[in-house]
Amino acid sequence: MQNQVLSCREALSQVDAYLAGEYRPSLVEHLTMCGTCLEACITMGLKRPPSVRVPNHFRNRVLAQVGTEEPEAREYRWVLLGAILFMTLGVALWWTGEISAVAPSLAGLLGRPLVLLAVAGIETVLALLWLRQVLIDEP
Amino acid sequence: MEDLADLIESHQAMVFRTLARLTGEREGLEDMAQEVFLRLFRALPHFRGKAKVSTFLYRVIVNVVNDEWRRRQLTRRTVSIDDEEHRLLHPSPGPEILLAQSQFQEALNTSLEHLALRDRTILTLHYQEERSYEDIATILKLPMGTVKTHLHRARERLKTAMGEWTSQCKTKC
Repeated sequence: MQNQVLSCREALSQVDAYLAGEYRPSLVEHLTMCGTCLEACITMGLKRPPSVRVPNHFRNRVLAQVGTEEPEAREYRWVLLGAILFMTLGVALWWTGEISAVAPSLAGLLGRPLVLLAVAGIETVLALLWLRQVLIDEP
Repeated sequence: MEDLADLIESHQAMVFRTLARLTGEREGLEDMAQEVFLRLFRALPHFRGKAKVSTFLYRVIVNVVNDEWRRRQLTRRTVSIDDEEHRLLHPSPGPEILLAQSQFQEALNTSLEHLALRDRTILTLHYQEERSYEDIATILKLPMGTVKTHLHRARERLKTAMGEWTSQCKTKC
């Protein structure tokens, strides 16, 4: 192909074919001299998605894998439910004053302000960590 | 499960092409795409719809690619790709590397692969996926100004690399 001087308009009209793999020496020549067209060519190249094919079986493959993960999720939910019930029971015992009967030494220990403050602090941190995990979607 | 099947159907093409662009590879894409949807599945119970599913998926894709690079870097006993050092490990491709690519699109893809992953992601999301600055900022958890700065710098790097390529190509391609 004979080299010829292209205007920007002519150059830009050839970019699509050039990006698709056609040999365009006159366009290359133009791009070495024209930064604006070079930028336009880069932009069009970035906009062209790579050619990639999704395998036909892909959806079923993922769904099959998901099927094997469900029991784990259920187990996690039971652990969480158990922890909530345990904490509710503890709070109820404390609130009604029954904790002294169930665990007198524990009641005495928790009666101290510093210990109470430390326990409350640890529980707050744990609760915030749990909330962060639940509320902030971090995949 | 039905929801997930629909989500896979409607987003799988986007997931594959974004992964292909970010990794610059075709092999191993299916495994990474599966990991993306598995992470989406695990996150669905916590997903409150405050973000669009597509925005959320892009974030998952970026995390999966990040993890994959970290895994490879660890294999090579080098540093994390999030670091500034990543750029030192992946300098701009030399003219001899670029010249091995006889076509503009190939050379552009090679140049893109030599950018830091964050810059490559921003370029991909902005141009290929046509996401707004705001979306990109949300996906990457970066301030919008930082996104714009990285986009500008990455474009300049690409322009320099491709300028060198066209100059060399004019005489040797």
